[in-house]
Amino acid sequence: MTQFAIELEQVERSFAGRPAVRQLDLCLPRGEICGFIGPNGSGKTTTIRMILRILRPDSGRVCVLGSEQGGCADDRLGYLPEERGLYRRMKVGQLLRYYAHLKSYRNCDRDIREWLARFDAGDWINRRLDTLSKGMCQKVQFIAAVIARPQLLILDEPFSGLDPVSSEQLSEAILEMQSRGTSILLSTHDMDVAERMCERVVMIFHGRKVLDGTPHSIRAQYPAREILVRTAVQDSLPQQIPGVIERRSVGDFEQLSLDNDVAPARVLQHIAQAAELEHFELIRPALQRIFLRIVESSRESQSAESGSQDRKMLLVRSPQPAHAESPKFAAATSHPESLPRF
Amino acid sequence: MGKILTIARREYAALVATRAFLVGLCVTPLLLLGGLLGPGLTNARTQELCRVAVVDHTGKLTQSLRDELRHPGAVQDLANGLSQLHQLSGRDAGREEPIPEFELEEIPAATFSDLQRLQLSDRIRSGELYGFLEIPADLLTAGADTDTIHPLWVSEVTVLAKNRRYLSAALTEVVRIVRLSAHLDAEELRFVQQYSDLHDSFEIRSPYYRDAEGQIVAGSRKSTFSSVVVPLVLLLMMFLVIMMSAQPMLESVLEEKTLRISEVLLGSASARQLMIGKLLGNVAGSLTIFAVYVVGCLMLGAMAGVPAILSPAVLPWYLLFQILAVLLFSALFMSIAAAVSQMREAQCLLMPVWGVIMLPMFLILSILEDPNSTLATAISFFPPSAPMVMTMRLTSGTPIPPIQIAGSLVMLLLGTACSIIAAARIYRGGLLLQGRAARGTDVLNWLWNTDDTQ
Repeated sequence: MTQFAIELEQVERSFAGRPAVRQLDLCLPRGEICGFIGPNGSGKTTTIRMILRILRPDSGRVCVLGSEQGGCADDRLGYLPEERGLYRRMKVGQLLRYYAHLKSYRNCDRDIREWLARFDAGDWINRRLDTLSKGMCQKVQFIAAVIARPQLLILDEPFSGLDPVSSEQLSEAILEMQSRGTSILLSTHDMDVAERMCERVVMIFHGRKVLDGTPHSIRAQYPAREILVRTAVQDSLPQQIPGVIERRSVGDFEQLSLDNDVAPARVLQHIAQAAELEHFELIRPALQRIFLRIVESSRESQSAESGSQDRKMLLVRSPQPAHAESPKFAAATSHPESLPRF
Repeated sequence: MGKILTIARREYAALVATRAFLVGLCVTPLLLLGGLLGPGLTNARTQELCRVAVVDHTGKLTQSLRDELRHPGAVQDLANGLSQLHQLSGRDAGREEPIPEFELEEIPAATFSDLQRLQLSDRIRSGELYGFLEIPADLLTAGADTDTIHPLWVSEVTVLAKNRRYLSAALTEVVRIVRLSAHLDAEELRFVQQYSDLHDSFEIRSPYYRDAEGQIVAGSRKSTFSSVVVPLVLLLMMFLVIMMSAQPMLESVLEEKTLRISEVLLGSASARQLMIGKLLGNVAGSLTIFAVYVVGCLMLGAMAGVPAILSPAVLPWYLLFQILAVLLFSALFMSIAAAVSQMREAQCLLMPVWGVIMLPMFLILSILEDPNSTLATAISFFPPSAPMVMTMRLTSGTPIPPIQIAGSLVMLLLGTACSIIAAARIYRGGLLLQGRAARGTDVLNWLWNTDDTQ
């Protein structure tokens, strides 16, 4: 048995000549939760559909739970789509039974009752889905995804529409599924969720993988470029601090943004000489910030590249590929350490 | 196979185990019955005294006309003819046409002028008179080549008004008898009158044949019921079954597509399994509708003493054609639903499909007049109309050449297979298309690409 629940190697997929996924490598070790992040239209859904065997890749290798065989749905997979995938006129119990039977899981009645009870929804079993709220439907959808005890669970925005209590219930359920050995691919826009729940985070943008690692290692790749300081005497920080490009007050604290080539230790040394320090803290960039920066940086470089290409086209009047990659972006994607620093 | 049956069971339940289905099942025949009985009830209410003024310039016809209208001969013929016409059109079967009661007011013709015409017209407008009839003086003397004899009928009712037709039928009969009586004796006149009724007394049978023991046996007796009513009822039943099973298929696929249910389903079953399961569920649903209607018809027939509408010899053919029709049209509706994103778009695409489904309905009379005509034979080989046309032909009592039955069946099988294969490709490609209807190029691409998705 392979150690990976999902193995994608150099997977490519286009629609009408437009690439949706390009040279994508992705591995999800068994029993892990992998955050799958990326802005809208970045190729997440196409990738998920290829993992679910709904779509076939144009090239590359897709191996799911050790099986490369395409052309048939896999009963070992559970899937929760981003938008509701529920028959509104069915009753909750009927629907869950139907989805379980479709996964060839017949004796599901006890599981249905247990899952519903777990979400404080024991009395919903005979209620029609069109009488439930969005959050309630989301819970039913989650149960539908896990009712057949899948080995690999793909969750697309599972926390959407849930209140904090329900979110917590769902988080616990997901972690429990993991503890039972289920591998989970968690597609989300919520970086806090990704940081909190995932052992690994993969980000794709414009069909390419631009980030892959544990939340810790990713943050480590992006050294702290901001510090938080508080002095014993208010406003005693010098007006000019070498290497600080921006400063702002946050309550009693001052938050300083550092230039890329300045070591925080040098700034500390300079401040300590000028004022009596009470607090000095390096702020590691949150995943959210990294995500935003990558997207912004990629967009900027792409638009710069397309502008440059436009100029070239005007000068030499020769056609250029519309999807030509920006060298900067290509470098960033190949070498995460060369991503823009912040 | 387990997944296909699971999907088929759900589709069947979604089609049959709903209040809407039960209501539709009961209301549709009631609406049809209403259509049959409604005009009769309305007519019964509108049978009023029909007051007509007669200006008889011949001076000989008013009393005869009054007698003819009171003691109908030609009028009764017309009533019988109308009853038969209603039976042919599937309406008012078995009901006798009520004859209106006329009161004729004789207006002296000698001094009749435009002023009196105006006065009579005023009485018509006020509702006192139904109309007035002016009989030309030379009606009893004009030669056969005369085309200028036109009795004048003034009224506010339409040209097709039934009472006007009774009046003209009675006048025609009176003129015929008066003119014939000048040349024939009473006995010959009676024969001429009876001869005109012979067409109703024909005993119509299929050709004679020899039975297994070599005895000559008369063919089965044909009646309006067996030759006209049975094919019409079966045609209507097949149409209802198609309508009640294909339309829900469209709604089901559209719901799955727009609510992204199809994405979940495709993660659990292949598009092929999904489609076959849905079609099987639909066929099962259509058979349920068929069973309900057939049992209902048999029960009503038994209560009314009417013979069974489906003979055991025709039943397997009917079922086969119905199953193939449901498969063909369900596949067609399914592909339309997969190719669009909203019901409104689907309705635009459905219009030509409904046209094709309705085609046999437009040609009912032509087919029933001659079930082996070139037209009837030709459209028997056109897969979308083959089931309904062949059902009419097979149950009309006219022998259909076996080669034509086989040919029609083969064409229908091929058509259904092609329709399912094409629908499967469109369904597979269209299910994942969100936010817009498929373009022609998309559909061509899906039809051409056999190995894109599951």
